[in-house]
Amino acid sequence: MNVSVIPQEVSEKETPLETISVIVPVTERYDDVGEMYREYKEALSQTGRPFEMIYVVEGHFEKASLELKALKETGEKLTLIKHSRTFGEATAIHSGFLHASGEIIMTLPAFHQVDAAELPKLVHSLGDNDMVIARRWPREDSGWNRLQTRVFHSIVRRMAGNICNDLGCSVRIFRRKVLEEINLYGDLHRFLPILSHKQGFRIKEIDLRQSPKENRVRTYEFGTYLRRMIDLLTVFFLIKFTKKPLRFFGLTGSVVLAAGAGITLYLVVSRLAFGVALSDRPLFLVGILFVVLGLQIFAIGLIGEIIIFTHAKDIKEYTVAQIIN
Amino acid sequence: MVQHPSESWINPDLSVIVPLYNEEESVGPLHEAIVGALDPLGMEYEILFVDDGSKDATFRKASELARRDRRLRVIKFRRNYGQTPAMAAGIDHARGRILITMDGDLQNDPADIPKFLDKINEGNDIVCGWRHKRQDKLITRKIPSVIANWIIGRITGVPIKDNGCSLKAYRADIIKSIPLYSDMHRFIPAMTSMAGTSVAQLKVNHSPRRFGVSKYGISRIYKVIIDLLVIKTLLAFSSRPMHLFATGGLLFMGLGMFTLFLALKDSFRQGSVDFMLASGGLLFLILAFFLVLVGLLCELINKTGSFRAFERLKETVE
Repeated sequence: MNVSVIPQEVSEKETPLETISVIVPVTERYDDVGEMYREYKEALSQTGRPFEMIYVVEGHFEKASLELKALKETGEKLTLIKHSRTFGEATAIHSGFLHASGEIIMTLPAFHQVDAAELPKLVHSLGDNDMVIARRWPREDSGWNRLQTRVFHSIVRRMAGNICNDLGCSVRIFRRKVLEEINLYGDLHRFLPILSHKQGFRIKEIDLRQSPKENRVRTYEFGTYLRRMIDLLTVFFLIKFTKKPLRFFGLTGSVVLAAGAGITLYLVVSRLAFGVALSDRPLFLVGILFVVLGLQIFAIGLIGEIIIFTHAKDIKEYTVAQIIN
Repeated sequence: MVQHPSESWINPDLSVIVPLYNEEESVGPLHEAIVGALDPLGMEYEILFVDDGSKDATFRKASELARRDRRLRVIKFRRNYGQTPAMAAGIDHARGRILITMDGDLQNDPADIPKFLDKINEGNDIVCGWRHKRQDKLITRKIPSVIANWIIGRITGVPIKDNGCSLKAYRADIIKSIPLYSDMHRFIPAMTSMAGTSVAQLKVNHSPRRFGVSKYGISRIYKVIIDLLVIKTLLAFSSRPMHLFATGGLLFMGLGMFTLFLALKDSFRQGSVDFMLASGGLLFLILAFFLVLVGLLCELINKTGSFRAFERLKETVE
């Protein structure tokens, strides 16, 4: 809903180009800052669009922030935001967004992921879409990493639908309204495409050439993937059951409860009818444990429902695209 | 979500809210039927079409109509969200004193609307339609519906014949104060009548589906039961959640004590404690304490949240 004040008299019907705000979060992993900056800047100048660069440097990465300061002193126009400590990439993106003035936001990693020369392609494919995400393709990676990636994304597809094949790639471009509506925290920035899809934004994935400089021998520890799986579970829960927690907890709870009740009943009946002493049946404890656990899960679900109900008036479940009349 | 409170709208007497999902053939005839039914009444009214992320030409056709008829407003969702959010959006944006909701598939007959208005003017807060001659498939639609309505009636104690009928009329202030999310639209009559509003029922016409396909499945029963459990709990204990959990806690405390007693009773006779039974009893005691703690937690949530919707509702009605 941009109201242009200056009437355009030129017959060319080209809309004024929107500014692109590029946010680069600098956290644990970063390559030569100056080199990356120049590569990105050169690639973005080719698009012919106005753009601004925003660097968000996290806590303990003095070296990076010193280099950026030096760049600034040589006359480069960039915004530098420093966090007092490390809050995580999602928070970095968020605080960069607060300082962004452009209608279009682009996030880029502080390390080599996608060949910078491919960035104009990303910018041009935004078109009508609300978000365009990149997939590094053709991809070179170690066999072990490829296997992990494939397993991870097949789970993502199962849960959230086929919208993205490279969640690890943080080269993304999207409209301002995406971050205005989605609250990013923790490690959720990785799942931004999924969350945006849930909000009803139009998303497109394009293939971009992988940067030849990407450190390919890098292998992730098992813990990294474990954390990602936990995040994925969170996202899945938030997407599917935010408004109906008891449907999730109720199902799990009643299965466990039914199993427990079945076992207990069977043992109690065999005790009363056939005199089988309960002290000989450790299964009895399992049965009662299941009953207890089932009811606890149910109770947790009810707490969830009460929380939702008390806030239901504040949370709008729908997003309106347009109102006519 | 742009509202125009500053514009000098004449607040209409009536808002008709219709959620639409892939109903391109129905839009035109529906609009015609509504206008045909309401124009003779000579009252100010508005129509709200809520396009629930349709993939076909529904939105285009609806906006063409809206260009010609300024009483018609079209709200377009960014994607498909479901019937309750669509109705909630319509209710949020409606300006009328009385709200009518109905299906967009032409199975409800707009000619019934005047009867609903009469019922509201008689002093009812909510009027529910009852499709007494329902034109749907027996196995997949009618039987699950009869079962669901029976369960809802038994549990809530409000014998609404047909909770699933979308054709309903509400006093705007009542419906706007009810939290509407998930699939809750089905339970509005039950919720509000338990809160003390007066609910009336009306037999309505129901015609077989002319265009498109039905968007319901049989898997609703599980959802209905869970939602019902939630509503029952929320309503019964909305002001004092502690009661529910404390009752459960006492129950299990009794059960635990009883089991422990059994274990100890045997021990006096035989000289050895039945460990299984004793541990079982202790587990029940743990559950009892857990439930009491959950109850306390709910009290806390209750204090901080806006849980008083139903209490306010009672006040406005009395």
